Amino acid sequence: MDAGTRFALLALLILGAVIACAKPLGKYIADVMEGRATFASRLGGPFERLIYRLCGTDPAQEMTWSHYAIALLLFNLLGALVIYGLQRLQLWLPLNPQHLAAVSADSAFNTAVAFVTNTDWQGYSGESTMSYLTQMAGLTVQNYLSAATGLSVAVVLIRGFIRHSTDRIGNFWVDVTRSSLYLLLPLSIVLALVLVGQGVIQNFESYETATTIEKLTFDNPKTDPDGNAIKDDKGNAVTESATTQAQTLPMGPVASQESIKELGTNGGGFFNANSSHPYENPTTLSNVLEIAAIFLIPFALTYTFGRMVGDTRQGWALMAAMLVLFAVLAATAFVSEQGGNPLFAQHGVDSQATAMQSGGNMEGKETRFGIAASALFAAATTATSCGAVNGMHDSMTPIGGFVPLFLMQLGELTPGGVGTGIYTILIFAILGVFIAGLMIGRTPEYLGKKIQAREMKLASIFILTTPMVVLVGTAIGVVTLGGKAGVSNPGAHGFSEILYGFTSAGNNNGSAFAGLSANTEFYNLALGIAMWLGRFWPIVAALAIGGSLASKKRIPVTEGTMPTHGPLFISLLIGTILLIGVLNYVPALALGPVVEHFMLFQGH
Amino acid sequence: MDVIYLTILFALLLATIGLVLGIERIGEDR
Repeated sequence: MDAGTRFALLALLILGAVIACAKPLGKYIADVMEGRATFASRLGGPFERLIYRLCGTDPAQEMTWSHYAIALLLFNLLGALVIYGLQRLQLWLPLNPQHLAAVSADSAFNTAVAFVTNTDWQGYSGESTMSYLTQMAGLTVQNYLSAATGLSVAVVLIRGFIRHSTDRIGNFWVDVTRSSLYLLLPLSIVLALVLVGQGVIQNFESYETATTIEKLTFDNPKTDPDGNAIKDDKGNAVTESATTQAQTLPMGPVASQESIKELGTNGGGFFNANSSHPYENPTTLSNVLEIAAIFLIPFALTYTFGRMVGDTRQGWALMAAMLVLFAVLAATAFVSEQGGNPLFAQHGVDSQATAMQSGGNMEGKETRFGIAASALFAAATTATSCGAVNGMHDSMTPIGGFVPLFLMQLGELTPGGVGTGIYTILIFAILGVFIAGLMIGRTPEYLGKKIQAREMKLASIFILTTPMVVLVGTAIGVVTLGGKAGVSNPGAHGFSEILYGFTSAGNNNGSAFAGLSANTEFYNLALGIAMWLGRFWPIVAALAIGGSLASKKRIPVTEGTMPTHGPLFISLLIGTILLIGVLNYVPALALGPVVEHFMLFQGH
Repeated sequence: MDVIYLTILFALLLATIGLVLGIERIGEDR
């Protein structure tokens, strides 16, 4: 079987399984979010009511969109403060067998924002920075709550289409409780148990030490008595040469974090190497399950949308647009990676795939996964807001690296993150019908709601906030000393590293071109601000659109209504997404991966 | 340092609440 066939079969297997689950899971999510009785709600009902009682919440009392938005913002601020406090105080708190030092203030700020925004950008190395308590009570808890926040926003936007002539769009506390309790928690428990079966670790042990056969000489960072790295005048870590035969094997409660990391499209790894670490992703099967878990809820939400608006064809149409875009870009990444580095041939290196070798570009990839599963993982993690990696994106070919970058820049809607994917593509759908309305001279409408000036102003805020954050952030990064100091590969690739960093932060993805040294005061602050604005400004706009639509009357379908479930609408939607993505980012992409591609094939 | 970063966090929150209040002033269509 050739490499291309292997890639196609792997993609079909995973996407086929996910799409097969979309209908039952999508129906279940609709039942949960609309308060219908399910097996889980009958089991967890008393606990759900206890949560409301403890929080002093009346679940029957619905909110206006602005009340909902402020509740959401305060809830997430509280989450950020908890993570920040846990990191700063972890040395004095339990479950820290390695006695890891308090995290620095700038890194703690960055990580706190990263995990409440579902970005999970990691400037730190988990195994040498975070105590078990911080990982579990801080980071893992936020993996649930940030995914539940995204799902809540999606449901509000969908309610905007269902309801009419009302200013009430739901209760944030109810939405976030139900989605955590009845969807994310049960799925994560099941996946964690399966991953443990594959060899993912789950314990509270101190780190193990193994004796290696060969001696290893390495540069060891110097630390002060508190365990903090000592830096020179330029901010670089001071190191000393050391030799060892001891290898430290990190331990910890990994599986419980790993499952929600994928299912919640969070992506923050327990270890620095993320899903390329054998304790996070040990086997071919665990790799397939992790990719499927990333896709599971975002694709199912298209069916949830169709079911809630009473026409499942609407959901299938959105899914079709997502699949077309994803398939083309994922295949591009694979072809580029399997094509490999053209300079290798000049040095007599055989890069052809044979029965004995994978061929292509294997730099930065795990041999147990190979090119097909690594390219597919890279595309999956950036087509959603996940950001987990099973290989190093910095080592991909220029076009291979362009694909994850562009998938994020499209807005992460193929299928996008938990909740974020469906609400992002719905806003592109609103924009699409608006453009179509302008072309044919009719008042645009979508699912029985007129799309008017207010919705378009809000959609503009939604769509333009992220490119503004990404491009302004990148511009600041390339002209300031702090920004340039983190680049390990100057030139076009270095530009791509900064662009990737801000793209990942602004779109709340969290994956990184590993070449960027981001644990500096500049990047911790700049990316922290980018993550917050890239998350909550679009959320506010989406909630406002939901509120605005809910307040309108429903208009009947007539012969002049454009069908929004057929090939014409799907093409229009794909065209709108591509047009916005290309217009926003082509100049920046031309300076990074595109230049690098031409330089590589010119022999530089 | 904690004061600086917590202040930035609250400033981001206030800027976002400002956006909520700003959007409420955008006129309604009927």
